[in-house]
Amino acid sequence: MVVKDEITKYIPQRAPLVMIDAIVATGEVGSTTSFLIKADNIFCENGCLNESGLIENIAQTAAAHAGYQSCIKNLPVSIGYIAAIKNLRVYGLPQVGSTLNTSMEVTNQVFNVTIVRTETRVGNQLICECEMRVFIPDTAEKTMRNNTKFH
Amino acid sequence: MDRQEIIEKINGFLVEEFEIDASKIIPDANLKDTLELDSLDYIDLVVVIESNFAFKVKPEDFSGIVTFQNFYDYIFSKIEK
Repeated sequence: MVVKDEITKYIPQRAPLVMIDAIVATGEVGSTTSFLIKADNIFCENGCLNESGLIENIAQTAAAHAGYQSCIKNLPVSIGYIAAIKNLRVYGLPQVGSTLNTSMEVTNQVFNVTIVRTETRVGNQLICECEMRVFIPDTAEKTMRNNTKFH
Repeated sequence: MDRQEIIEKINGFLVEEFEIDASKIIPDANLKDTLELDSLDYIDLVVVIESNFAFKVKPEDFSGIVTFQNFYDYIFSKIEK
């Protein structure tokens, strides 16, 4: 488990744009993060986290996975870029005070683009799912490629 | 699976993935223009090739593919090895 004070070692974002609190599980091809939604979050509207906040949470989960995997292999943490989001489904907007648990799994690697499938839940309730394409150059991209499970 | 069945399979996933009219897929038509492919669409194209035919696509593989027939021939060359 990675505590919040350490999370910025693995992602490029800084407050107030940090949208994950901790990596609660991680493995070769995927990770799960947690995030408590606070009332002063910049992506909150009318007591709920908006769609942009959900997507940012997903993107930072993918970034944290790549960053953590790079760190444990003693490689520098590179910056990834969202190339595309496919099949995004938002089933509800989570309320302030709830905790997001977002899981991502690397499903494929095509050239310099890593494809990840994600699910965001509050408790057992599925809030959001999508397939994200992330362009990750250089070292981190190679790390993700080595960790990719091909179908 | 014979070549005609492979072509039908390819055309089927192209129609589904790129939401085009099947009648626009003719062997001599330009693949990129007909499917209106941008750089990210090529990623999707690689994903459907790999998931349907179970081989890895390299970036340079696309250099000689202009028409649908070129695309079919490329798939044939990979799966008939």
